[in-house]
Amino acid sequence: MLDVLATAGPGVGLATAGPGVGLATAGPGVGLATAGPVEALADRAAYLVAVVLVGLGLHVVVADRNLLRKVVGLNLFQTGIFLVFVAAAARTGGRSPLVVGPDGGPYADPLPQVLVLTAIVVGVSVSALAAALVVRIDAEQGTVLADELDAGQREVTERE
Amino acid sequence: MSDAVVVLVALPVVAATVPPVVSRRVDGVGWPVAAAAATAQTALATWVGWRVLADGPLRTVVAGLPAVLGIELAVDRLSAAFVVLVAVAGLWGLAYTRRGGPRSAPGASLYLLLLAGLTGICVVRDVFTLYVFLEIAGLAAYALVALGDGRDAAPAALRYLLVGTVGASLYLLGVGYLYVATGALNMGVLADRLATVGYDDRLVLAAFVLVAVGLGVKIALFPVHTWKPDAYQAAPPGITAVLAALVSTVAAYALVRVVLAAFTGAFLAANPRLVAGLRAAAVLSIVAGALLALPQRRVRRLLAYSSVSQFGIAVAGLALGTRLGVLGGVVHLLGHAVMKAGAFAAAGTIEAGYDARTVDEFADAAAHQPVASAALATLVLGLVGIPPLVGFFGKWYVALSAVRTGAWATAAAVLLSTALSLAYFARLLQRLYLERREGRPTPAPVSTGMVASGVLAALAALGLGLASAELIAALRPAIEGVPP
Repeated sequence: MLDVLATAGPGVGLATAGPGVGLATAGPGVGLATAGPVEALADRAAYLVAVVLVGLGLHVVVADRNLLRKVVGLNLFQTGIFLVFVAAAARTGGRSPLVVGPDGGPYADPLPQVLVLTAIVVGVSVSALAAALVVRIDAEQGTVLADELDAGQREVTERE
Repeated sequence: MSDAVVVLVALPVVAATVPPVVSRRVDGVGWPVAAAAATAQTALATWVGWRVLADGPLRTVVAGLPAVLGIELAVDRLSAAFVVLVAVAGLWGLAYTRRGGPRSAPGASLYLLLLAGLTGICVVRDVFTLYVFLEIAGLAAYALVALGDGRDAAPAALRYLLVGTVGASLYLLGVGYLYVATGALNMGVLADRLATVGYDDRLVLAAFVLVAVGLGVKIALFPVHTWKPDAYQAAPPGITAVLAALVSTVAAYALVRVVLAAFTGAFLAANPRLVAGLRAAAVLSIVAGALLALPQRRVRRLLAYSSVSQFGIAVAGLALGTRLGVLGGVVHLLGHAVMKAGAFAAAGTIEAGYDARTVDEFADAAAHQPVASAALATLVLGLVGIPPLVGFFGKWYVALSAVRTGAWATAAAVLLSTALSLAYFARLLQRLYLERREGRPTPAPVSTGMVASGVLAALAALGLGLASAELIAALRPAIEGVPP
């Protein structure tokens, strides 16, 4: 995905931006007006994938009855958001931001990548806790289906 | 001296590592370690608050970098109020949990991590690090809810986790948009660069909406409030009291801070329709929360739905975009934290004595548990907004500012929610004091700490109410950049 972005046509318009500065007018999909339709699609591919991941993930979190799949959906949703960060960091012809010698960039913006690393750590912790909770629910109630849990709780409430 | 700000966050984190290690050798260290750390934290927070009042804001950038690159931590008067609230409520909650539990070593660690995360949110001036602290506090809160011993604890914790993580992730996406628009994460730098980028930039507008929705989930505004009643119902009673005092309150503080410090009042002034949308969401929450509270039979759910309504009032104060409105909202946040925590603690005391869960089962509790009942009644009246309890003043300033700015829907919603809260709490008061129930077994003994926690909160609600003018005057300099 990053390769697609890195070799994309001139439409991206971030080619000269250094790490973390000069992004004032560039957003996802901004500044692509001059590119042809194919190039524009290639430039935006990462964002399209992100939109699909976010939408799919959110749908699974809300609509699926299996708790474990809800957790996986949450992961998809978060991954889509991470992809937005990584895609925003890409530069046309940009290299890894390891500065060796005086020749200089363009470099990919390192900051969003660092942020995503931190966010992945947070996401892993959330997934671990969620998985532990699903295991406990299965042990206590013998099911990981949301509607069966609710039915059990309704019985408890009605008995009171 | 400004290193004290770093210690505020580091102290509970370091202390949180002690119980799991030491408990391998010695039993029962969880509570004492948490108590020692919370005492030190309260002393430090009070000292920091006093320094800020005397000398002005404390500020430091981690590792001495320039603010645009490093992580800035700062305490002004607004932060100080919430830092002190977190520390004091943390210590107060331990008085309740000494007997009421949870008493395990992991429980103590989670409790300290919760305090660390919440304190971090209060002091950090960097929108991304705010996300990290939001998730530290969130993870600790989810796990603490799961410590409840009922069958519904784990499902409630998982639901809280799913909703809370979606909220935090939306906030993160908003942060990403802000970074793409400006190349900055520091709130002060963002404020400058957003003025250059333009307040009508679509990326910036989308960032505002994502940040507001994300934090709105954490605050539990209607219709994304659904995690709250279940979580408050399922958590151990002492934990519910602390969560009710702090988690949504600090998320609401974060919204106030990000909006005023990063987006600024000029952004609000330039986007009246966006602000009207935020106000409409708040009004919806005020009314819907109160209506949903009306039919609740369980006391904890009743209090939880009342929170949905009360946090709507605080957000409405911010969405008025005036200094008076924001101040009213902040005072309401502080007052609500004290009163709702105390109400949960007092209700939990009666709950533990009688094994009572529903409003009906609270009947005649005043005869056997007069102190806890009196505390609960006082705090409930404070939540309705009876002066001189602090609950009145926050509502009053928000309503006053709404009338002055011609936001009639907001003013009407505040009045309506007050009437509705009287209706749903009157039911509880009537059961407590007017209904007789013969032949009830004597309640199981409860610890002095549990009873005292409710009484302390009631006294604090009264004290804050009597000192509300001073509180407003002390906070006023921290609210900048908005019209009076």
